[in-house]
Amino acid sequence: MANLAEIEPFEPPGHSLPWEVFIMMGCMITFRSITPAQRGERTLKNKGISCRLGRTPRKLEEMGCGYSLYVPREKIYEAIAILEEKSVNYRKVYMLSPQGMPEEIVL
Amino acid sequence: MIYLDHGATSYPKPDSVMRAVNRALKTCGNPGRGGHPLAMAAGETVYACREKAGAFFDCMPEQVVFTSSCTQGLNMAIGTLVKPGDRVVISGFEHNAVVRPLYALGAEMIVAGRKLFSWEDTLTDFEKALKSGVKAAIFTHISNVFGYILPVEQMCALCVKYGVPFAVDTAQSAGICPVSLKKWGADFIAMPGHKGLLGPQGTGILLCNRLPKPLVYGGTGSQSFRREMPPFLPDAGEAGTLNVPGIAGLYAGISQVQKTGLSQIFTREEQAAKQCAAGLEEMGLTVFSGDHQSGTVSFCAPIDCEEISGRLASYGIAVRSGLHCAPLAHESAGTLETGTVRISYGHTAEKKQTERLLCALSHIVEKP
Repeated sequence: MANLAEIEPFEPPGHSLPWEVFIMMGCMITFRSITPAQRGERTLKNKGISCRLGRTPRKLEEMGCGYSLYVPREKIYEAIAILEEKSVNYRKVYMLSPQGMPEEIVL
Repeated sequence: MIYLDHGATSYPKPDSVMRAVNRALKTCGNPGRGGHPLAMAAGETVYACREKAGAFFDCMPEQVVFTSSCTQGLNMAIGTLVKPGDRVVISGFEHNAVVRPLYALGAEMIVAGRKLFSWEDTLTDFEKALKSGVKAAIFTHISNVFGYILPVEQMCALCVKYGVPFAVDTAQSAGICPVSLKKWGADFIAMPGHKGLLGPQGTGILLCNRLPKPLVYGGTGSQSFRREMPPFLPDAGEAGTLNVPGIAGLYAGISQVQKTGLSQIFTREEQAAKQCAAGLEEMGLTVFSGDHQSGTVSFCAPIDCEEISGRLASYGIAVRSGLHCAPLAHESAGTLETGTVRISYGHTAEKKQTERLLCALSHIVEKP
């Protein structure tokens, strides 16, 4: 068996596990597929809101597979307003609760 | 090689296209299928092209569906708009990419506008057909055989006026003339990625103003629990792994077109075709030229058209001869029996090419 220490790290910064990113950023906006998520990423970044594109945790995507934008907690309402203004279709918004669990925000 | 067969595919591809294809092969996984760096790099590559194409053709990125060819896009558009037995109006200059899917569906084709280079004839006939009651209209922007630029904006406006769903085949115009999904109001616009857009063969785009009926069913990386295809764009039309290296090359091709500018590309090709037509006429050949013509010109000679193209190839000149997969266009122009030799200019058009072509042709015609 290979020694873990011998495995060369491949992932560049910015590509982490979905839960790790969620915990780090605090909020997550889910999308039905990668394309609207990518448009959302471009739209938010153009407006100066930092965000990260990644897979949606399996448990939070009831349709199977999906992509999400992970957004800093303090920017989530601004981000949602921008996405709605630009007609970027998102599915759900989750915020990390104080207990470390995802809670859907009903807007 | 003097390459004058850009109507078939552009050549040579810009260096930037080749580099982009190579880079994608080295750095991309499967787009929209995972979260690891190679998958995300592929996703970014595809989206970058989707975004660029959307901006270039006046629509949202989601409305850009990647296909393997213009033909595939046309099949998807026709399969969505037309049901068996429907009456459908088409122009007199359609490619088999339009005629064959309609025939396969059992549609009744109303052919409108048979007169080459006459906008008046095209528009009068087209409106008459629309008034007579049709379920859809499918028409080309530029004839691939004769370079006739149809009055596409007026035709689109007529379809909107009569409430007829329609699709436009921009196989010969995308990357050469302005194409706008928003302005035209088309349900679908199909195009190849490898002709005027300078991308690799095996690429194409279908611009969608409505959800297409899928041609191919399968994985999309989205809504995997559903047994049906996802009911949204672009996923509804993109089952299976996308041609990521091709799409990367297409991005570079569109960038090159934008850098040069559509008006400069069109003018260069149009002028080359005019110069060519004048030279062919001086030789006493039957030349099909007129107003509203792109950088494509067809001609007939007393010698078999295949013989001419074969002999031109021996002089290092690449042209196409025969029916060009468009027997309907030949029927309209009266060249169904003979076919034509087609000279189609592209982004590399220059005077020297035409001079050499005419020189070689004069030898061929004088010494059959």
